[in-house]
Amino acid sequence: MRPSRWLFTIPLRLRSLFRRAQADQELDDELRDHLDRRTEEYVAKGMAPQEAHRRARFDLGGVEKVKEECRDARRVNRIQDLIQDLRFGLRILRKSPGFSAIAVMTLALGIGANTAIFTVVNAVLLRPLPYPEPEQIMRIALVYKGQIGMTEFSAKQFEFWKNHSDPFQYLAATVKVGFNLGAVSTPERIKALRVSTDYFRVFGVYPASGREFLSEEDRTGGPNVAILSHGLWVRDFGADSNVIGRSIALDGTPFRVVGVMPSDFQAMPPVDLWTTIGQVATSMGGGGNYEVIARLKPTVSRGQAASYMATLARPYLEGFGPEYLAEVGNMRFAAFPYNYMLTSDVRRPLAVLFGAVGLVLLIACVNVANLQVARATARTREIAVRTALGAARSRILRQLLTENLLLGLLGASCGLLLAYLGLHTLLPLLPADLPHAQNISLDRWVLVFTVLLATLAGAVFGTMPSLQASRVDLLEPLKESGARGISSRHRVGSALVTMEVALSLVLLVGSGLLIKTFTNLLRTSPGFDPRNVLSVPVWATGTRYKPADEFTHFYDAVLSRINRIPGVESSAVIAGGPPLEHGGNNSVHIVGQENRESFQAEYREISPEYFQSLSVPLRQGRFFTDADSQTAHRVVIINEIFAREHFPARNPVGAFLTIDDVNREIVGVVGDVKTKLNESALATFFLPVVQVPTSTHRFWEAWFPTCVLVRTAVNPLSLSGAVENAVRATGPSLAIGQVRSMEEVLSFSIAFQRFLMMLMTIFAGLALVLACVGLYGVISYSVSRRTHEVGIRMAVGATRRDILMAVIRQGFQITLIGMTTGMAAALALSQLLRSVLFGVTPNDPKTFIGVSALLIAVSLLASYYPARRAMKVDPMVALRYE
Amino acid sequence: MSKPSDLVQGTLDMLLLKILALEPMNGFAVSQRLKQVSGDVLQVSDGSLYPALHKLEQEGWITAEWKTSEYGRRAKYYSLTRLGRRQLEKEADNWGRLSGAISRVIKLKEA
Repeated sequence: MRPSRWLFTIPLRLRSLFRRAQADQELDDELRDHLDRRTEEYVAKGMAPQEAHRRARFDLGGVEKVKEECRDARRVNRIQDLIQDLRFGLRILRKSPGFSAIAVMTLALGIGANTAIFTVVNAVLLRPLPYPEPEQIMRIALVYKGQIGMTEFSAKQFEFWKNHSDPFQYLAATVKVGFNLGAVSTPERIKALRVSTDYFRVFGVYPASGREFLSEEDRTGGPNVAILSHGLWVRDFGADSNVIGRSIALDGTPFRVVGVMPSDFQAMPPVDLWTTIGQVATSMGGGGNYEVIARLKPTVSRGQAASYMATLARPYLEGFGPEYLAEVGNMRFAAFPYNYMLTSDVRRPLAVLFGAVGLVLLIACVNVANLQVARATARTREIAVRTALGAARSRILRQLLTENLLLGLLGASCGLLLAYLGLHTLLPLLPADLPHAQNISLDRWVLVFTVLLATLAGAVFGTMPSLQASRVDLLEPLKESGARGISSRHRVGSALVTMEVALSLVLLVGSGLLIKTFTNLLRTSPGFDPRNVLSVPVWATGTRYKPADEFTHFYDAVLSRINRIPGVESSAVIAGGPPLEHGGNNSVHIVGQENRESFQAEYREISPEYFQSLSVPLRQGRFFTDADSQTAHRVVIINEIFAREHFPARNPVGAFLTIDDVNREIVGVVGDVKTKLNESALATFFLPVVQVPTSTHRFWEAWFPTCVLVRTAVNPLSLSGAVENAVRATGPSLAIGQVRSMEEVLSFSIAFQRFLMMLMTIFAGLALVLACVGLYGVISYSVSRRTHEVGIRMAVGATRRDILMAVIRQGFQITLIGMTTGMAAALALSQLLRSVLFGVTPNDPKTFIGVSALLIAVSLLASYYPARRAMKVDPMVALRYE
Repeated sequence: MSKPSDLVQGTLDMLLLKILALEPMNGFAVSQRLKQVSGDVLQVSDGSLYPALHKLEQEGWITAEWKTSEYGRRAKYYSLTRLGRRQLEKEADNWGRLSGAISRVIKLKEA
């Protein structure tokens, strides 16, 4: 086509598009003018005016038809069709508000749930980390037999990685620590990272003011320096631009501020401050728990890096674990994308949830498709008329698809609103340790996702019914012999509902397994009585309590002050890791077993009343008493698992353990206390807190707070103020964490399982309701079309009971077929949940049976109501019906 | 879209273009002229005339303008465009060749 012609026709097309009313008016005028002239012509020939007018109209052959053809002749523009279809679609949807409301609501639920979960998935798993070239940031881990094994290294092992860093531009180590910031009164507990020099280079972000760490600062004995996060700088230093060079107190030690990070930089998970790691490389603990991160050279692909890393297992083991060399074939090192490592625990459960909402949406789509199929029957006449008037099938199909798209988009808009509201309810339920949880928000990718979903949904639920509806036999519907030709529609409906039943069974099984997991977790004993216990985390590091006896006095003073509060039964402290949280471990050697290697066990320091305060049972020997003082004989208590694993054949009481080069006598064995409810307890030993050097105590406090635990006779939270005041009054320079009841701690520890269980149950419930609505719809529909048949049956002697049973049987059949299919799918898919289940196998027969029973019961109910309607059919009315 | 079944496809377009090539006129006049010149042989119903005119307009071959007629009546006058004139020449050529060929075939004497 030549441009001149384009130029010429564009205004016309635009006119017919945008000035439709005027174009239509002109068309009207033109045809009226024609009719007038023709009439005049006939009148001139001697016809009566009325007859002349009639003839003129006859010649034209239907004004409306000609108009439509003229419009067709102009309509080269698809957009106009679309607008017309949309307008028509809206009119149709308005005309059947019941259908539209149900369809839009169903879709809104499905799309809303998907949008909400996608928002979480997007923020946690998909959104690239907010660093330059985030895909080049890696974390080093050991892979043992295909599973990620060791992810933390020691200072010496970090040296190994520095010497083997060919594929990497920068390599750095980090370790999470905490500090008491501020020296005077009520210091603030802050989160910090000790990092090696190249840390900021790995992330590609540099201080907004000041500088990075220098290598001479990153070594034992180097100067104490710190870099502030933007948040801490604003919060505690009033965004003072002169902060660089200032001295701040961390755990009572002066550190010089050398930099402030920009506002858009944060570590994952966020911290308040960074300092150097080299300082502690040779101090106690051997500089352990290093995470090693690295930035790939831009020229090196992940594959190249992987093949380089794969060669390192042997030299590494030769240096650090020659005893494992026999296993070298099962081990390899790998550099994993940083975000992959951050989210490794939640990826599977989130994927399962995402899949689950996907199924919910599928069910919602099937329901809407089903509604459409049923409604198509009602619309058969409309479509037949339009076809008879000359609408092409493709044109009708396009119209129907547009309607469905419209439904999808309406559903999506409502769904977006639901998702927005849902997220506000969801966010507080999210486990606090979910990575990137603070970044969950509706962004443009979520919007894109929702629109895509709406379109996809529209296509899924729209295509099939539209194809079917547009294939209209012109004569049948016009003859209004409604009862014939429905059987195929009914079959389609049944097939759709069968699928719904199958899908909901899958979701119900998933939710059943998670509910069981959760109730198992609630029922499982943590090893102590969490009722009426208050937990107050404190950090005493950097305070004036330096010598060990001052610590002792401090704890004595705090506990006796707390014990005087009315309602308090007993109180104790524990350091090295509070109950239900991971704590420290330390190496232990059994005296007298010189041929045996020392081994690692969980390490805790406690005050005498600890076990009584938590109601942990004594199995053998005795608890600690005040007599186990700083100067007394060194003692240790172990738990049952420790005893079982390391003293299988003899009574451990009286035996000696070497811990931190001190020999201690085992004086008691206590019941096991779990670190995680869904894991078995770990071998643990307990030392009297007064018998531990202050330096050791401070070392543990860099990671774990010391917890003051208070057993109360009343609701523990009612005493939280009094207890906190007592702690503060005794040690004004202490940092105090969040005061919680032990039941809250317990509930927090299973937050993720609760979150999974609740969402899965909501989704399964939604699926169940939708499937029932679908079943109800199909059965009702079939009953209404079978009124005539029912009448005949009753006329020839069928009882009302027979009719009832026949209808219910029909529903039951659909349910059974659906359940069988669903069962097979559920058996396969429930395996995906294995890692998050507790105390129940993925194929738990009880869950499967229970869920099936529920599904059958609900589906019977869904077909009972239509069946009752069928039963009440009056044979005379039914026979007259046709 | 209905088409005058007794006209070779495309012929109606050519006839309309030819008629409008003589002078701009409104739809009714086109219809009259068509009957008049073809001696009622070419039956183009009023119903198919207007869609055909609108199509020609859409193609850019003719253009329309609202004018007041000699009797003080507003009517839509169609006139040929430059593009239309070119199109007419092309179609007339084609028609000439086609009808020449057909008449030669028809005139073949039986051996």
